[in-house]
Amino acid sequence: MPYAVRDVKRAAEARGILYYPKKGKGSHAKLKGPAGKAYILPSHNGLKTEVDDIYIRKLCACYEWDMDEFIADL
Amino acid sequence: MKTEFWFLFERSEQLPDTWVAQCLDLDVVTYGRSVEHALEMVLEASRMILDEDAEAGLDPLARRAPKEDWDKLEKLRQAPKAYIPVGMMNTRQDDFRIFAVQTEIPKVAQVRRRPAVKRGRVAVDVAAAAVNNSSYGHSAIAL
Repeated sequence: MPYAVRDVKRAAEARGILYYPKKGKGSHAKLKGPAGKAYILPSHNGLKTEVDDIYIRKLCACYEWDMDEFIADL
Repeated sequence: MKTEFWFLFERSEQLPDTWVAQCLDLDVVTYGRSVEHALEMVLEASRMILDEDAEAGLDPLARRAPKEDWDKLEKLRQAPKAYIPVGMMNTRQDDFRIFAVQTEIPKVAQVRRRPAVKRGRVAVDVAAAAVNNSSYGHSAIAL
């Protein structure tokens, strides 16, 4: 099922990830982990943007999170 | 330094009228409402990752997508009837569900060189740049 970027942001921040909103005319926000590893967050429609399972899977793989646990927090 | 990257585009199974765009080399995923929009978005997201990793002293190629994602590309490359002219992508978007393009990632400044130009026109320009850089003789590969 689709997930709102607003919820992804909240769940990521709860895991210690920093959120940086999109700049200027850009369409992507970014998440940044403690080691400086960034991941790009689609933000075409701001926090209302919806993403599907593949995005959640990639995000969880990037930060080595358990996908089922992350989805449960959305 | 690697200059050309593989991008895979698939119709979203969960979001209507949406293309999921992925840079396989960087394992970056984003979305677009059309092929052109998805291409513009994935180039922007990929450029951001390259810039962020350069700033953090990280190797962006260490992000490489897992084998199952590259297998989709291999399947496309091995299907002889899967090649279509990129110029027809606009008119035949309803005819396919997955395609791939290999191209360079432009600087953000290049993508938005003409801020006065309307968004749709910029998207077309980016798509044209990708087409011209395709290693498949101005063709994308699609299934």
